[in-house]
Amino acid sequence: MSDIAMIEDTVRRTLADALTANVIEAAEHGAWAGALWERLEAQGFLQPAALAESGDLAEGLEIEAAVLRAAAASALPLPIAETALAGWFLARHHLEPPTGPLSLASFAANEALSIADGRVSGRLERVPWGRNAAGVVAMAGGAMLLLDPRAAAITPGVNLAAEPRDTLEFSNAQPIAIGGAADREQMLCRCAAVRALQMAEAAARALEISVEYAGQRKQFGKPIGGFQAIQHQLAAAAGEVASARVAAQQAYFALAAGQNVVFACAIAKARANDAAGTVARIAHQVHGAIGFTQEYQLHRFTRRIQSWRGEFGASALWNRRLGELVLGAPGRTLWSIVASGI
Amino acid sequence: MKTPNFDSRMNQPELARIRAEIREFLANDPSIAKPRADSWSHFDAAFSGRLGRAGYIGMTWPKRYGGGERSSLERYVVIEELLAAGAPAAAHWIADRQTGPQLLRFGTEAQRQQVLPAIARGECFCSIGMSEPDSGSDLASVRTRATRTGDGWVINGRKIWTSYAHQSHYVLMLCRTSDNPAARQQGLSQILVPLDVAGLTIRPIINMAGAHDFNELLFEDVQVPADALLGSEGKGWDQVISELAFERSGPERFLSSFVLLEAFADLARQQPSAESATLIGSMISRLVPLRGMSMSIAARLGQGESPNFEAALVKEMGSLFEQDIGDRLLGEIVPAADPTSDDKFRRLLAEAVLHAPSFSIRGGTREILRGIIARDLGLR
Repeated sequence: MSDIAMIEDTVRRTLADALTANVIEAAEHGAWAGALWERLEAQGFLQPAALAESGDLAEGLEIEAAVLRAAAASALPLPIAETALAGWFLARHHLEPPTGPLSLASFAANEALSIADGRVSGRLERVPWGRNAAGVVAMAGGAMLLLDPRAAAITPGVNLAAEPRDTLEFSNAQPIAIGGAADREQMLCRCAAVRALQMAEAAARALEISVEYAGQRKQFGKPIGGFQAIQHQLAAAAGEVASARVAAQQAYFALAAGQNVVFACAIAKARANDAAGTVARIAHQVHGAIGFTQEYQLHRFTRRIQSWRGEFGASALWNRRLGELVLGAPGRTLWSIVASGI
Repeated sequence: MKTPNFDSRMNQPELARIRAEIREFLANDPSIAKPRADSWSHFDAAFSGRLGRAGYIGMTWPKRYGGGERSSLERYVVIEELLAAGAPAAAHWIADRQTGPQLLRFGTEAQRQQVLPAIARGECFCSIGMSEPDSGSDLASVRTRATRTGDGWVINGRKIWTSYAHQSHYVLMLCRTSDNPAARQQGLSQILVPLDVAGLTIRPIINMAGAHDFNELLFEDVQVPADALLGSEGKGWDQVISELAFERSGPERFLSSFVLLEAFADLARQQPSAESATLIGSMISRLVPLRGMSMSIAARLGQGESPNFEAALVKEMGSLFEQDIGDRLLGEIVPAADPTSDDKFRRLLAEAVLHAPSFSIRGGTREILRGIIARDLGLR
């Protein structure tokens, strides 16, 4: 087993052990899974890129992807992806991450924070675990900032999966730190790649649960997976999962190479968004009524992938951006861009 | 449940040279004046001859058989460039993709010497003799019979949907050579039959696009020598199955309508709109991962693997994609398709829409492919 596969396996086993029914149930009602968080922190999985022995960008990204795949495949109800991303941005700007969970702004084009005399005002909407975060990475005046949610008025909210999505209203707040100049779209792309990876893995798990169920559930004297009507739906879902996974893989390669970043991240998020809808629909259809119940685990995955579709860019945003990117490249044919990137 | 294995990391710079070479070849070739949608079903023997003489057919084969000993990814780059340019590549397509590789895997030295160099020169074309009037998706039910005689085989029966049999030189047949009703997959054999043999009648079938591509082949006491058998008697089914990863995973499973998308991009650059940008983006976001999947399979095929599960996933996603290009353009953007038009976009739209039904039928129907995927998921 390679080091990367070993890390992924370790996180999977840690979560299989620690993510008990009680922890899941409490998180569904808004409780912070503190003991589990501390366990992941002790193992170093909260800043996965920092585990790279070579200190090399590509290795850091590979480790991050491995940890986030395992977390998504377990529907971990903690901001492990947000913390990894925020830590990554802070490290790029040579800022020390505060201890504890971290979160991020949405980096949407219409998200406006203003900064004057070193003080920040404005609203960040739907910040993941804003209420729990020790710091929130955002942008104002073209620079990256680390904000303290405790300096904001917090309006709690949740996504479809009961994960906190809080609105933070800042008024002349003192940032924890101010970094250097940052590119909003590059930050959005980085976040989109992470969400796309999480979506592909959570969708893969929803498919896996559905295949297992179809093999066990009997009707008309045989497992329902023996019926072509079920087989063909699951096969279609498998195609969607495979291409979403490859798209996320391609986005990570682009990030590691520092080439085709907008192109590959836009593709990954658009592909994951579209695959998520199809896979969620099929997974539930195959399960029948049981999949619609609270006690059955399928919804932990389908509610997440449905929620994540709209975060860091829905398909309409990324498809249009992608279209404008390829059509706007002077002297390039569509094919030359497909073949060699942009 | 099996998990498909795709590694989409490719060493693109290594392939840049061959890409530049084939682009230069195509830019100077007269066929490019009229790009075709579904270009690998447009037959042009002269084009295939030029391509073969330039070294772009049988690229991965040993040099002693006229091949180029290039990597499977170099070949991949060439075929995707042909498709992206809309080059009329049907004449040599089957011979290059599957008949040649089958001869390399299962043929005798004499068979290889006899056929492969001519294929590589772009002078010898092949057809697939699998489907019959009563055997489509249920391929193991084939009834065309080859009976051993003193010094060869006598073939009786019918084959159908045999593309370009009227312009090709050989058909690689799947025939029944013995009966075992309990195990239909046994007792099948592959036989390479020259298309000018006595007793063979080739009848045209015109497709809905108005083209003569398909044929029906009637075999009446057709005699071929003993050495027309390819591989082992009775092993035809296993041999045919091993062809399928080659047949199902290539870029022709998602690029058939690409020239149409390129032509639409040309229009969209002249009259920019959010709708056309979004449509193009939505297509590119499906195409790029598919291509990554397909190239990953090409690399594995080059190492002698048979990733049939992954190939089925490419064909499943690929045929949906290439059908959707014409479908969305016709339904959402430009309703005027005209196969006779001088306007490139309208003509390509017509070609793509009229050929689209075949995309999810040829090479294994969508239903057969989904059955294969379901089996690898552990459902059957």
